Amino acid sequence: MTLVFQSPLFGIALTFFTFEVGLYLNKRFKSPFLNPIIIATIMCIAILQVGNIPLASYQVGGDFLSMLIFPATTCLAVAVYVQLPLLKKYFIPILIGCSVGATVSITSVLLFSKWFNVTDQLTKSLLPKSVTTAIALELSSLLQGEPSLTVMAVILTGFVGILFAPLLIKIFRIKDPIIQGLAIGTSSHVIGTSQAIEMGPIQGAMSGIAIFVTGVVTVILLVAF
Amino acid sequence: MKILGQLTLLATLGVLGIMLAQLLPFPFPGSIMSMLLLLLLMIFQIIKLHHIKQASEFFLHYMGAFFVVPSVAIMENTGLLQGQVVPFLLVCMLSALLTFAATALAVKITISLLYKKEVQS
Repeated sequence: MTLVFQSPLFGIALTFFTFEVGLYLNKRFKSPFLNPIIIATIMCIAILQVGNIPLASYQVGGDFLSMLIFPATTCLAVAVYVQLPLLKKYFIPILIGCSVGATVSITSVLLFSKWFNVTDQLTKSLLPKSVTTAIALELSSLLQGEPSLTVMAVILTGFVGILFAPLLIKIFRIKDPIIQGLAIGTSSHVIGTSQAIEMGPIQGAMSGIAIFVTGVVTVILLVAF
Repeated sequence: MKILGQLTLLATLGVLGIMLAQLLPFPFPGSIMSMLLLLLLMIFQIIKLHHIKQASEFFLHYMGAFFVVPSVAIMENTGLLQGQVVPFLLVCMLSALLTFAATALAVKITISLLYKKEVQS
């Protein structure tokens, strides 16, 4: 049996199967908290534990899939390209909003981490948490954080956005759909965007643009320092 | 364009991205560089949407599956979270709320400054 688990196909099959289950549950119950990545992660870990299969065997095929994060990141350009007219129209508010958001995200992580005595490696894993996972992972390894913790931080941050965005919009009386979308996308990336799309087409589009711009600004800020 | 052609295009953009990133004087992710490169080439209509449509739809739709792999590695990194779970959650939450508020405020001020004249006239 060990031979079977050593095959790269094992990791690939397990990842795709569990992710499909995650996608199905997410659609079936229409809840953003049934995140496919979380469901797949829990299922994979459970199966590896029960079968007493070492993580290294899973990663033989897993590494092949991680490699595909690269072209997937390249494809984010296509997602922005289809929103180009809107990006051009509101270029200045978008750029300023996302830059301020990215700066606040990074500085607040540094401040709060110091305040709560978070370890250095954890802080490095938390720094890119406001950007979409593809970019966050790249930054995490660049900063020598722990990528698995970064994935968790990114998803958690998305959940915070879903939970609190409607409340914050009420408290601050934000009526402009452009502001709503940009604030959601900048603070809670793709997961928040799923919520923004339900609020309206302008919120959804703005949130999608914010993911891209915030990602690029965050890379520049973190690389520069 | 057929799917193999689209994948070739993506792989080539990736290689170019890595090469361009290495020209910079500081470490910069090649994937982000290839993303910016693709956007530029699309804006200048050198690469058109139909050149890359099917491949990009696949990658954008199933991107999450690729993140499962680094995420599963958490099973061997639980030690890093020892005694840090609550701070970890707090930092995530507080920082996200602050980011939301700051972005909303910044956009609000910018829009009111930019479009003030239009509203008045």
